[in-house]
Formats: sequence, C-alpha cells, structure tokens
Amino acid sequence: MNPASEKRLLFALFLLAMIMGSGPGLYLVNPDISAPNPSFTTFGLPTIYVWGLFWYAVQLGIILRAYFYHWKEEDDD
Amino acid sequence: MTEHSLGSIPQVVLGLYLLLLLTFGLQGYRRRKNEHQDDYYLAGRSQGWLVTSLTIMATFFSSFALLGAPGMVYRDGVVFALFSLNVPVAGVAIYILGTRIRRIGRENGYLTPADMISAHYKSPVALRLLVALIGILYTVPYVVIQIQAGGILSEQLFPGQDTFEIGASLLALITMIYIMIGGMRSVAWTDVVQGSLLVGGMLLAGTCVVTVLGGLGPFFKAVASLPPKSLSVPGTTDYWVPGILFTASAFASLGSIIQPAQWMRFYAARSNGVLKRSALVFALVLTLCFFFGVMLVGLGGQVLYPLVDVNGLYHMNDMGKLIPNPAVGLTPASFDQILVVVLKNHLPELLGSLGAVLAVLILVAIMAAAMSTADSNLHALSALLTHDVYDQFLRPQASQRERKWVGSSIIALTTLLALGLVIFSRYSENNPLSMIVVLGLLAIAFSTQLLPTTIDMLYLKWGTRQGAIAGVIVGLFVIFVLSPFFPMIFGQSGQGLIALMKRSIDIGAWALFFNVMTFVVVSLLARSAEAYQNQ
Repeated sequence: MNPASEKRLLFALFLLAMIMGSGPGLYLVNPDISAPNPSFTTFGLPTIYVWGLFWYAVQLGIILRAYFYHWKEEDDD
Repeated sequence: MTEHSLGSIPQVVLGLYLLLLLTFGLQGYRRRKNEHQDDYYLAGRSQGWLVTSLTIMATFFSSFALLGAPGMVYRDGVVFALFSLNVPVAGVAIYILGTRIRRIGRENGYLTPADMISAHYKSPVALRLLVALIGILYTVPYVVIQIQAGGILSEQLFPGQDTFEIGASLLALITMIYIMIGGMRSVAWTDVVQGSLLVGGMLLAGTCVVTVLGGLGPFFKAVASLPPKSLSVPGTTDYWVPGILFTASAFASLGSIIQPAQWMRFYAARSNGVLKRSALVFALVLTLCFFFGVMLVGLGGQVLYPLVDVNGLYHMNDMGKLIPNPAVGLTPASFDQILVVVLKNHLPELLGSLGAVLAVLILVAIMAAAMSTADSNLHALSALLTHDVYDQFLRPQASQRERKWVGSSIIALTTLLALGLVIFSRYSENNPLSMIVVLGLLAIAFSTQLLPTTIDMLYLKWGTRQGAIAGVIVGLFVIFVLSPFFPMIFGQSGQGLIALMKRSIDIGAWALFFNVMTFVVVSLLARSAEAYQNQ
C-alpha cells in the first residue's frame, strides 16, 4: 500500500475507533439492565470499561504507526 | 489515624510547592530577552519538545480532570470513563491542526488565533473581535472553575471558617503574580513542574484507591457489585446517552486543542517535529492517566461511599436531585469532592504517615492542575485583549512597555473578577457555577465554534468572510439558548424542543452543527452574489 493510501486508511480507522469507543458502538456491549440476569463484567472488569480500553489500544496503535511511518517522514518546518 | 490527622504535612508541602512556583516565575522574568510581545507571550517561539509537551498537557488537564472527572464517574458510573477516549483525539488534533497553525503563524509572525483567522478571511474588525470574544467566553469560565477547585481543596485540607475563600484567593493571587512577572516563560516552566506533578498525581490517585480497597482483584470485585446503572450506559442520571458521550468527548478534545492558550503554544513551539512528538506523548501518557488514574477513583468512590442507602434508594435532596453519600457532601455539586474525601479519609488510615504524605502530594497535584490551566488561560486572555483589542482599536501607537502594563492589568483584573464570581456564587441559593464538568463543557462549547473556520482556513480554503462571521454568531447564539443561563433569564418557556435537543447530543455539537450549516449556506450565497456582481 502506498503511503498516501495508508494515511487515509489510518484516518478512517481512527474515526471508526472514535465512533465505536464512545459513540453508537456502545450499544453493541451495553448490558441490558432489564434482562433477568444481566452480565456487567468481562474478564472480571466492567464490560464498558474493557470496551473503552480496547478502543484506546486501537487508537494508540494507529497513532504509533502514523508517528513512526508517516509523521516523521514529513518536513519539520 | 482519623480524617483530621494529616497534621502539619499539608502546610509544609503546599508551602514548598508555592515557593517553587514563585522561584520559577522569577526565573522566567530573569530569562526574558526583551520587552517585545513575542517574548512575553510566545517565549520567543523557541520551546523544545519537553516543555511543549508538558505545557500542552498541563493546560489541557485542569481541575476538570482531577476533580471533575472522578466526580462524574462517582455520580454516573463507568460510562464516564469512556470520556477518556477524547484524549487520543486531542493528540491527533495537535498534529493535524497544531503543526499547520505553527507553520503559518511563524511565517506571518502571528501572536493570537484572531491574527490568523482575521487575516485569512480579510476581516480585520468583525472576525478579530468575534474570535477574541470566543477566547474570552472560553477563558473566563475555565479560570473560574480552577479557582473554585482551590477553594474546594482548601476547605477539605484545612477544615475551619472561611478556608474555601482563603484557598481560592491564595491560588488566584499566586498564579496572577508569576504570570505577571514572567509571561509565557514563567507559565511554561511552572507548567513543567505542574505537568509532572499532575501526571504522577493522577496515576498515584488511582493506585491509592485500588490499594485502599485491597488490590486490583478485590477492587474490581467490589465494583462489579455496584448498582446496575453504575455499570451501564447512560449511567445513574440517564444523562450520558452515546450521542452526548460521543459528541462531548469528540468536541471537548477538539475545542480544548484550538482554544487560545493551546493555539499560542503551537506558535511557541520551536519546530513541527516538537509538536509531533508532543502529540504522541500527549495521547499515550494522558489517556493512561485517565483510564488507570482518576477514573478508578470515581468507581472506588462509589464502593466506599455508596450512592444508595440501605434500602437501595438513591440519596436525593429536597428538590429531587441526586446527591452523593452524605459523608461526601450534601449538594449536587459535592460529587466533585470524592477524590479529596477518599484520599483524606482512607490513605492516612491505611499507610500512616506515608499515606498522609501521599494524600497531600495528590492534593497538591490537583492544585497544580488548577493553577497550570488558570495561568495559561489568564496569560492567553491578556494576549487577546491587549493585542486584539487594545493594540488594534484603542492605542495602536502604544509602546511595548505600555502594552506589557496593559496585559498585566488585564491579568490582575480578570483574576479578581473570577475570584469574586467564585465567592459570590458560593453564597447564591442556585449556584450558577454548579459542577466542574458542566461548566467546563460549556466553556469548551464556545471554543469549539472556532473549528469550522480553523479547518476551512488550514485545509479547505473555500469559505467566505461573510460565512465565517455568520457561522460564529449563530454558533454562539445556539450555545446561549441551550445553556443553563437561558432559562435563568427567560424562564422555562419553550423548554420542550430545547430539552429534547439537550438530551440528544452535547450543546457544543448542536452549536457546531448550526455554525457549519450557516457557514456553508452564507458562503454559497456570498460567492453567488460575488459572481453575479462580476458578470
């Protein structure tokens, strides 16, 4: 993939991570409190918290890739 | 150890900290190269990556992060922990917007955001004044909440009469002094101390609360047994629906990154490489501090000081509003005190004198967060009013020395005004300043209104002067209509639609939506009119 295409892909992935992390993507994992036996945890942690950590990891991965492979290549002045 | 057994540790640690700040302020004054505004407001545009990273972080992190965020998690539960995801967005914005702002600013010798925006749209009066107004509308409430935090801290650390007022005044006056004497250098250098303190303090706060509850396993086991609303969306008060959470966190980051004080930090950076590295450090370090620091304090707070009584009913005040556990406070605004209450009541008990020292260090970190944001904003406000208003419209012929004096007077007057507001509102029955997060998001909503013009100016270069002016005016009007001040002035009429709008997405996002629509439509009309005239 050429650098320009990869930059666009990283940008799109970052937007997706924003929408999934704190946006409508939350509906996918939000516990239903009206259910008979709702489950609020995943791996012993609150599911919502794990969801946030996961999307943080995705965002950080994108930023690290962008920094080391794209931003550093650009002219600093 | 009881809750009052911090002994004289707070006085000693706070005294040393304040002395250190004044020393740095004085050092900034000694290092000044000349009386020129570039030196006073932008430190000669020579800041390296460490100072830039820490000053951007310290300006971004305020009492909003150290008191407001744990307070909001304590009130609404784990849903607000997702607000942490605004930090990587802000990091990316430093790269996308900050590097271009710095380059154009350096090429043209710009000092304030209004310099760049008014020059791009060729609007030396209207847009310059509007951009300066946005800066003021952002800066004043943000300074107010920092001073308020000083009062809250003092009240908790030194129980007694008038300690809130004394703490708030002390924070305000010391901050005012070191900005006045040293300008940007003092602000940035003190931000290095304060930035390091608040990063350490946030992580330490999370670690301490987990330790108080017996370690990570017992901590999360206790958290898992919290009321269902605390572990799900939209949280205890039903406020944080995904629409609001997403727009608030997205625009909080963007609005905070293009607010005047940060904009001037981009100008002050030595190179774009400095800003890129700062963006990386920012996204990596600060998000960790949120997720593994203060957010855990709010959750632990719910375990230690439950929001429900023995019958499983939420604590409410006479007006039917949710209040914290009575041991934390008796008003809806008292949620913000959870971090201070947990540290003060539990850490000395658990770790003895070491616990008392750690508790005080974290409390000093909160003060550092408040002071570092207040100083940056006061300093930026001084630049806006001196450079964008006084220099341009009142006394263009003023000497550098006169401008410096005007800038210092503005810092002093604004500090005293903000302090007066904090003290006055404390005795008001219906405290208009309310919770830190609420007021902070309102301030950010104002600075977010610069986003359409900023993106257009840096990337699209399509909009017109008329579109930019109309968009900003409409955006500001929408914020006013949706803000808590509108019903206070005009009563509750027309609340149906307004209430519905407020429940769906953040008010800054609504204002931004109308701002963008107006910007596009008016720009199209202006272009059509221009084409017609040219025919």
